[in-house]
This record gives sequence, structure tokens and C-alpha cells, in this order.
Amino acid sequence: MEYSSFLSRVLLMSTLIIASVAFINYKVDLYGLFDDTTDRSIEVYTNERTSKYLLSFRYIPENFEGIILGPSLSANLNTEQIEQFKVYNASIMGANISELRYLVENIVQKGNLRFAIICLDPYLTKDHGKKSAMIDPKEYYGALGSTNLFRTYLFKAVREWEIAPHKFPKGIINSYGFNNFNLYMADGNPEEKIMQKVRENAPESTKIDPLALQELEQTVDYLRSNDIKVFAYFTPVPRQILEINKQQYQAYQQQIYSAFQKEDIIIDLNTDQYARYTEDFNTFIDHGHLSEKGQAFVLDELNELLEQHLTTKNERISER
Amino acid sequence: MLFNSAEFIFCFLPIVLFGYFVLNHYDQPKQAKIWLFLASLFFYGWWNPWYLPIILGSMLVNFQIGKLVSNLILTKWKRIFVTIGIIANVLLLVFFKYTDFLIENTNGLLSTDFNLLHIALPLAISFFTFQQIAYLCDSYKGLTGSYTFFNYGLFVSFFPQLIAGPIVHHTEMMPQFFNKKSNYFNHENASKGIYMFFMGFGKKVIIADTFAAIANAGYANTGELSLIDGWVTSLAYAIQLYFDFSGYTDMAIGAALMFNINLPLNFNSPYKALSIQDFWRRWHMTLSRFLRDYIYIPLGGNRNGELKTLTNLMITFIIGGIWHGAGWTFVFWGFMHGAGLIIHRLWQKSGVKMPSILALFITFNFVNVAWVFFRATSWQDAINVLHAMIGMNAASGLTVISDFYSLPILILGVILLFGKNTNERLAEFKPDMRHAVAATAMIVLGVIYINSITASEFLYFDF
Repeated sequence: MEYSSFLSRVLLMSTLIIASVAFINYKVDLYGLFDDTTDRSIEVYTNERTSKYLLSFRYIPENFEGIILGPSLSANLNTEQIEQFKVYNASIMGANISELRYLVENIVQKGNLRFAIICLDPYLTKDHGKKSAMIDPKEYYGALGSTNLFRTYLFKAVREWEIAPHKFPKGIINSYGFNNFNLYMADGNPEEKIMQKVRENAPESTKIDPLALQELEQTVDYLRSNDIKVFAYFTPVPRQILEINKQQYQAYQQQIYSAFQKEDIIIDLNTDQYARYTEDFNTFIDHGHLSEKGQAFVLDELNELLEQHLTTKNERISER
Repeated sequence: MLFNSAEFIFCFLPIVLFGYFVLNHYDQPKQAKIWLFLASLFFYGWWNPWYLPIILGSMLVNFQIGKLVSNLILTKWKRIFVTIGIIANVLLLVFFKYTDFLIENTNGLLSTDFNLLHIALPLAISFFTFQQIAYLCDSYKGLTGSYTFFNYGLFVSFFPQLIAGPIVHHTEMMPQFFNKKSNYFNHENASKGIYMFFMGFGKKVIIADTFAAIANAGYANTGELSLIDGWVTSLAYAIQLYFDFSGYTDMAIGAALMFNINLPLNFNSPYKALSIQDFWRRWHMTLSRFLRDYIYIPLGGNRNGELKTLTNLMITFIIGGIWHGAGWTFVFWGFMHGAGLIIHRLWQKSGVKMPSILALFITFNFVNVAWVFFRATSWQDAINVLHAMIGMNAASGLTVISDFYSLPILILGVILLFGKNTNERLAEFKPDMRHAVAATAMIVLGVIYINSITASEFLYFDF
């Protein structure tokens, strides 16, 4: 082969393969970026940060009227169970407010969001800034062919064909964003885990990063300025842990309240009113993540809250 | 502009290649060189346009001094001007690279309280300064030709080698720029250049960046490393550094080859070295050449007895250490290599032969331990890693590898370390189907990686 034909063949083959890969991925559209998504149910197979960020471009704004924002403490709320409202759980394990803000801005800009529910826990505001490079606008075009995309295909296959169901269970994050991490995290005795924290006198830190608090305030303002109703709730903390840290936790709450205004609706699920849940070890799987029982309790409260303040799906139908 | 970025591969490089060969095609070789010179300045200014006056000023001053020195007849005046030139270059480097280091040490030594200046280090300053010092020395010896400023500027700033080498010598570059054959597009060189470029690309983005995740995790928490963590961390960095820097060099060689310019080799399977001397003949070969020709030999080399030879070796390597960075860890790294070379020299004199496998094992581990000082951001971090490596930390288990899905890449990296290197693969290159498939696969993989969130800077950009 002559060098000239070698060169032209290599360039031609490379161009053809790259174009084919991009075209196939455009057609598959794993994250619902390139075409209408209103008749689609898109699950997350791996890399929750990047996946939910990409879903925030079209899938979430085109299909949901509300979102839940928070770290892992709210990520395992199955919003599919909120029947009167279509809510996407945009919470991300390990995320702080800075990272969630990227999703909020996309969803608000591209859809008709009615409300947002913010899960308040010290984890959300303990630091600021992106914790990894996984939330990056470059990933938009990465959906045409990138390492993250091919990894996602691999995990999709492993989960859907149940190749290793114990390690990679099917439907881990459903089309409502519910991260069923209890499948692999609920592995022990919550009482033991909670009481160990109490014995060690080691509650979670309630420290607030001033920049994170500022970002929370800006996020809430941004939602409000776009006519989006803001709800927030202080996620349940095991009563036994809260008791050893009550003053600090209350101080944390006071600071957090400053980010909201009176038209925002905030509930505290750690008051005496909810003691029967927060005292019960079975509400949790560890020092704070919710068990199925805990999830049901929080979802009931949120459902009630939404029904109190917003027109439900049924009401809207009957109005018509 | 990074070699592993879309803007370089899809915009800058094709446009510069096109412009260069079109101008040459229309018989405008002078304009083609000016085009290449301006493109190189654009490439450099992409990071920060404020650095352009520094490199331009440095080139202008060195060019004028070089010209003056070449034209002078009296040796005394030649020596005076070349000394002024070298001092000016060293001062420029000291100012940008070592001011804070000197202030810190002055404060520590004299209990003063001078504020640090936090001067930003202009990209590639260590490389273009060394290159121009060599040029001045050769002007003094009458070894330089009568170059125009644009030719000289192109030799210093030619973008494939500008940022992190190879450190080129005017005698190997200028004849190539003047060679009429190199003015026309050459399919063979373009094919080989693309092949080499994407081999380097793969080494950087697939292998080096995967090992980087482990090394970074380890060096971020040196106090909590277990015995296994300590070894995995240090080995991961040794492998990362090799693939990162040699990957960069391969891309530089490949890019230059597309312009029909052959850059010198910089790596030749360094971890196959059987002694420290052998290692420095295989690792960053153009720096070794510079240190030998412009520091070790002018100091007297091995001409003044054994003690002076050993002293010269030590001085040369301590300077090599300081060149890499402003910190005592770099000085100590240079000292370790100097000491290694001295021990090796004394061992050779004893006449005792060592089995190759043992020699390779000792050399590799010595280099690996020395890299700990090279990588650690503080003395304490280096000690922590070494403590972990000898089991003096209480921690246990393996914590620095969090992504076991990259295990195939890690294994591939280790295999490639001791397999054929890219220079050997390029030498075997033929325009056949096997190489066409390999080149295509590398290009496709490369494009996928460019489109992924993996791009990171090359390690030697910091030096």
C-alpha cells in the first residue's frame, strides 16, 4: 500500500466510524437530549451525577411539574408514589447545593416547573463547589460518544439482563429519579449504627459553609423569581442522635431559615409532632438515611403539604 | 492549547499544516516559516497572551547577544557577552520560578518576614531558557550560523516542542527548516506523524490519566496510607509520569513529523534500565544531553580526577533537580540521582557484575523511591509515603484504588511499560492494513476520549 492511500484510508475509516458512532448514539438518545421525551421513561444506570444532569436538559423539564433536591438523604424517596403530582427526584448522592444548582438552572430554563422541594440537611451546605468533573456541559456532546456513555451502556446491559443482580440490581434508579440504594446499603441493624454514634458522641457536623448558604439562598431566589413554589423540609434525624446535638442543630436550622422567605413553605420533621417516627430505629437504615418506613412517612408528609398548597392533578381535571 | 484538546487536533493543527504547505506549494518558503512562527506564538499565547512579551523578549535578547558574540573577534569580549547572556537567562528563570523559594528560605534562615510574591510561572520558561543558553554557548564556540530572527524564533518557539520539549538543539533543527525537501507535504511523514501522535495520545489520556487518579488519591492523604497503599501510590505515580511525559513527547514528535521535522527521541523504555546511568540515557534524553554538554562538561567532566568527576556529577544532578522545581524535595531528588550515579560509578570500578534482573529491580526501585520526593508537595508528605512503604503507618488495606473498573487499563499500562516502546513501533511502521486498522482505532479512541471528561494537563507543564 502506498503512503498516500494509507493516509486516505485511515482518515476515511476514522471519519466513517466516528460519524456512525455519533449517529447511533443520537438515535438511541440514552439521556433524552436530542428528541422529544414526553412518551419516554428514562432510568439512570450509573453515574447518578452525570446522568441526572443530562436528564435535566429535556427529560425532567418535559415530563415533570416538580422536583426534589437534596443529597442521599432524599435520593431514596420514590416520588412515583406521589400520585397527585408528577415529581422527579433530582437528589444526588453526595451532592451539595452547588452541584444541584446546575440541574435547577437547566430544568427551570427548559420547562414549566411548578414547585421544588428542598431536603434540608447539614450535608447539603457543608461545602460548596463541584466535587467532581462529572457535572460538566461537555457531557452534553459526550452523549454522542464518550467514556461515560459507553460505561452507561455497559451498566444498562448488566442491570437489564441481570448479569450480577446482587451487585448491580435492575431498576436501581427509576424513571422518577428514585435511587433505591437501600438494596445494597440497608445491610445491618440501624439501632446498632445509631447507638454507636450516640455512644461515640459523634453526631453529623452541622457546620455551614457561608458560600454554600449563599448559594442555597440564590437557588431559592432563582426558583421564586421564576414563579416556582418553594417547599423545604428538615429531613428526619434519629431522635437519639439529635438529643446529643440539639443546640447545634437548632443553630443550624436558624441559619438555614435565613435563606428562605415567608412565602416559602418549610416543615421540620424533627419536632415532637413526629417523634414517633424519629424515635423509631426502623425509620432509618443508619444514622440518617431512610428505611422504607421512613420513606413512606416523609412522602406522606410531602404529599399532604403539596395538596395543601397546590392544585392537584384531579382538581385540574375536574376544573376542565 | 493542549495537544489532547479538540481545538488543537481539529482546528489549530490542520489549519497550520494547510497554511504551511500551501505557502510552500506557491514557492513562498520564507512566508511559510513566518506563518509557522506566528502560529507557534499563537499556540503559546493561547494559555495567557501576557506571556508572549516574555518569550518574545527572551528570544530577541538572546538572538542579539548570540549574533554579537558570533561576530566578535576578541575572545575576552565574546566571554563577557556570553556570560551576560547566560546570567540574564538564569536571572529570568530565577525571578519567575525561584523568587518565592528564595524568600521562604531567607525568612527561615534570617528570621525575616518578607512577603511571598506569588509570581505566576510563564509556561515552558524552563525549556526555552535552557534551549537559548545552549544557543549562546554555541555562538561563543562559533558553532551557530547566520540565522534571521524569524528562523531563530521558529527554532525556539516551534510549537510541537515549545511547551515541554524535547529540548532541541539548533544544529538539529535549523538544517531541517532550511531543507527544501521538508517544504512539501510528505505522505510518509504525515502517516507516521499521525500514527505517533495518536500513540502518544493514547498513552496520555488512557493510561497516564488512569494511573493519575490513584497517585492523586494517595498523595492527597499521605498520612493515612497503608503499606499496600504506599507502594501502589508510588508505583502509580512512576507509571503515570512515564506515560504522561513520554506520551506528550510522542505527540510532539508526531506533530513535528507532519511538518517533515524530526524531533530527537526523549524516552527509550527508561524502566528497563539496568543502572542509574542507563536510566538517564533513556529518560528525558534531551535534558540529560543538555546537562552533560552545558553543565557537566564545562565543569570539567571526568577530566580532573575521580573526586572532581564525582563532585561534577553531583552538582549537575542537583542543578537538574532545581531545574524541575523550586523546592527542597526537588533538590533532594536531584541529590539522590547524583548519589545513585556516584555509587554506580564506584560499583563499576569494583568490577563486580550484577545479574540483569537484580540490576533492573534495584534501579527501578531506586527511581521509584526518588519519584516520591519529586511528586510530594512537601517534605512531610514524602516522608509519610516512605513510612507507608516500609510499613510504619498503622493503616491497613487498599484505599487508593476506588475504581476497579479501570483494572484492565492498569494491567495494560504495566505490560506496555516493559513491552516495545513507541519509537520501536514507529520504526516498524509500514503502510499496510494492520497499521491502518491500528491507526484508525487509535484515532477513534482518541476522539472518544477528547469528547469525554478526562482531559488534564501534562505533568511537565509545571516544570
